[in-house]
Amino acid sequence: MFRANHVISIASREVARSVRDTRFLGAFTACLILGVGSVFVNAHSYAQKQREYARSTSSYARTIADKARLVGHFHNSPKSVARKPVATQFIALAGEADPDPRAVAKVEYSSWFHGELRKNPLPGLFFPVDLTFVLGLVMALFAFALTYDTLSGEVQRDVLRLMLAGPVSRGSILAGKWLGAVLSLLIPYTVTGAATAAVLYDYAQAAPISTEDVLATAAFFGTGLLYLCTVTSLALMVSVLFRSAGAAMVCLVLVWLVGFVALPYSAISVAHVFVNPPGAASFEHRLGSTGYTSMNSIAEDNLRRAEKRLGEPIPAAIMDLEYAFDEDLVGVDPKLREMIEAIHDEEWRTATGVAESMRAACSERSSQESLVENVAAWLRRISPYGCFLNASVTLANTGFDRELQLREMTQRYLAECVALCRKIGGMNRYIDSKLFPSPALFEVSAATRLARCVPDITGILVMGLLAFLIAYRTFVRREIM
Amino acid sequence: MLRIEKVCKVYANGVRAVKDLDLTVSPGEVYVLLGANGAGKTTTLMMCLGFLNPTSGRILINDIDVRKDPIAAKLHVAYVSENVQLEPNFTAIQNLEFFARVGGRPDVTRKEISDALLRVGLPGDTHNRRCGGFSKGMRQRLGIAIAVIRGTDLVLLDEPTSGLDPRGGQEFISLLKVLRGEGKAILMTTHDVFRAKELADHLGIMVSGELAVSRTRGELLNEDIENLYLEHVETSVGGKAA
Repeated sequence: MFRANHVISIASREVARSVRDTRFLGAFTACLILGVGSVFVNAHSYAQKQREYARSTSSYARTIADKARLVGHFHNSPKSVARKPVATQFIALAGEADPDPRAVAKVEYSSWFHGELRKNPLPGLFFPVDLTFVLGLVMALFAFALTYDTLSGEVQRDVLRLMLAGPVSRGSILAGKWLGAVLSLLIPYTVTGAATAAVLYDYAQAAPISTEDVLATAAFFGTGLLYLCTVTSLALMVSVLFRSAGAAMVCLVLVWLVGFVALPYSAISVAHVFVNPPGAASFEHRLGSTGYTSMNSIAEDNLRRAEKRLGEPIPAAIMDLEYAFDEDLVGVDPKLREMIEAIHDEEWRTATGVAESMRAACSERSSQESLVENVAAWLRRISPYGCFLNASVTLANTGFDRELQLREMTQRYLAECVALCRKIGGMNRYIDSKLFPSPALFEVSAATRLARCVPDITGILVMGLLAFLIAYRTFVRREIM
Repeated sequence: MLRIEKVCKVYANGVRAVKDLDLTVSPGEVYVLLGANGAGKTTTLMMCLGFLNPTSGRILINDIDVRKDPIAAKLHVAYVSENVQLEPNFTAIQNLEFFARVGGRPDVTRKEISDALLRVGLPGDTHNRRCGGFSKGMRQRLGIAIAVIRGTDLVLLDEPTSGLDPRGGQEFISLLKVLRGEGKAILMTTHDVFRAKELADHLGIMVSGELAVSRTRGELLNEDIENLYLEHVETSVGGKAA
């Protein structure tokens, strides 16, 4: 089926043919400029992004911690009455906030970034251009441009006839052409990848690079190589299926636009159609109506219930004393004090239910958003670029030490917050560890990251093998004129 | 060297391109197939190369069935198309070196390649020039050079002189005569009656997939091939029109 010496001869010829082709030079230059250029252009905004991310993440965490300290202060103060309304307010705050502090930071960062873009739109043009984009999307186009006429088109068909007139199997020709195309792509892939990584390394000097990160980056490049093999198989398949080079080119451009651009980037929107979680605005409205808005009417209800329990009306003036400290109540009529405490008791009971429903709403939305993410990830897996995109995000996009340090800081603040909250009697029931960053977020060893990419890597491999098999079966069975 | 036995070819669309073709080309013999467009000449060559599978019958090259063992059979065959298109960005030597390596000559040397190019009439200053700038005549010579460097016993040519100027055509025919002199079996399709008469040791005229006329060189001496050809082609065209 395949003869090694024929495959090598044909592959060498393909490489020599490609590097002499003006398409190769053009696409190679484009890759290099996009890869290295985007890093330079993004460098400034990247540094700002890091600072802004750190600021917004820690600002959020501090807010939570401050609230927790406030609760702790009231709870631990020997002079205070049980400031349960304040505790309720904390539960409401903790429930309303997005369970994932990264989401809050992202929103804050996003509004900041768009503000920056208004001042200077240049980074916006290059914002989506990163290593994954260049090695994934641009290289795929490059592969298609180099390979579409490998087996279609007049000149190649005649060369093919001359080749087939010799004692060469069709399998060897196909394998040789495939290997040649992959080796041709390996030149810009290696050069662009190395140059871009070098520039990134230069900018990342302030952050320590761990062995795990180096391994994850190596896995990223390995996955990229596998991806290039698959893309080449696809291009070869189309080149076999179409006799006209023009038709093959049009088909591959369509494949690229639909399968490599539209599908992966619209996966989230499509997933939303299937899962349909409540939008952020309606979610906030729901929380608001459940929490703060209803708190006023709840307060009214509590007052009525307290009056009913005490068997007499409570003067309106007493509401002014509701948030007073113990020392403020010294000398207050014991009856009045009883009334205040009755209001607090009622408020606590009602607020418990409010907090429960808010927490349930948060959990529901959190799980729906996870489902959307999962559905989107599986939709992306229809496309080789989608698989590569998933894998690259898992392997290298956020795995570097600086990102980890930020996360650890967030976790520290939140742990402090949790510890403080737990000191408050009864409140530990309302603190769900799922609402805080999971320790799983910090399990970022290269092996773990690679394990998470198994479905994506398998997807890339299966698509490549399938495309090659179709190309082989078609080519071997085809009658050639 | 080449034996075509009762070969038929019916395409998927039902067109019967070749019908019961019997043909033999011996070493040192040039067999010329004449015929109008669509007569089945090229289909016959494509079947000899294994590009198309015969619907029935068999083709033997050096007693090897092309269908059963195409790789072994093609070790003995070289092919020159109507319009040889080689890699335009490669030099003549690079192109030839590649086809020699995949054509069963992995040990070929640059000197052998240069000698082959000189033999087919391509001067030394063209050897390292890119083929993209070659004239059709030069490209056809390169096609013959591939056959020469591979050293095959059988050469199949599909209208190789079509589009060549008279001088280029004549030089090409001279080259084929040299190859015949070396004992190579040659099967050539053409529309060029005069060159067919000059070169053919055996001449066949194909009409609608059938070998309507088969003459040896001795028989040709007493016959007006042009009239014979026109007569059959007109019959074919008239038949089709009817």
